[in-house]
Amino acid sequence: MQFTVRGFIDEREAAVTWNNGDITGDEKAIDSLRLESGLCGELGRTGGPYYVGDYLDNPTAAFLLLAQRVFTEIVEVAGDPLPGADTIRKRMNLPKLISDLANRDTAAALRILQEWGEGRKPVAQLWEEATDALERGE
Amino acid sequence: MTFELPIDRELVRKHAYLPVKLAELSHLDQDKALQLLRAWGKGSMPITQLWEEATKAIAKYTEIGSKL
Repeated sequence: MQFTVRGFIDEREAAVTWNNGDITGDEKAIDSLRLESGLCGELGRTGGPYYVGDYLDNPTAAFLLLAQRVFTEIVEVAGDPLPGADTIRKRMNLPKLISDLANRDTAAALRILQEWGEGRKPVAQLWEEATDALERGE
Repeated sequence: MTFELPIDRELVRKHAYLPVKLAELSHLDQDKALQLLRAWGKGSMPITQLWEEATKAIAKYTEIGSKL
């Protein structure tokens, strides 16, 4: 199995590829991925429940670290389908999407923010509604 | 390999609950909620600061409420 995450780390564009445990791509991103993986290993020992084993050998664990700790914005996840990847990408990018919407339709943005924070709708549905509202505004 | 860095579980919690805070704030002060949401979307303010500002703003209204 292999996948490539493309996106931004702060303002910098970067891509990292995971291929059955081999990791290639942006060097700084890989460094911070390895650091985060070490930190999670420590965290797993003290708290948990977390993944047991080397995080970077597991595609879902490696992806979660890339999405939540390394990249600040994910533009694309290419390669083999990864369970949950789409939802994580949407959740990560939802603040930006809602704030873009706020520039055009404040009421719609507020409604979606409230539905999100109050747990009234799943992220995938909020994402769709915000995208539709943005397109309608264009 | 061992790491001496402290693990900030608070940060993880703040990240997860920030939408809850902002939704709460949006019922009290729409402009402030949107301002913080924009900063979050742009990545121009760290999560800890966003959390503190949201909490402070909510507390302001709660205090006003308790004095009425």
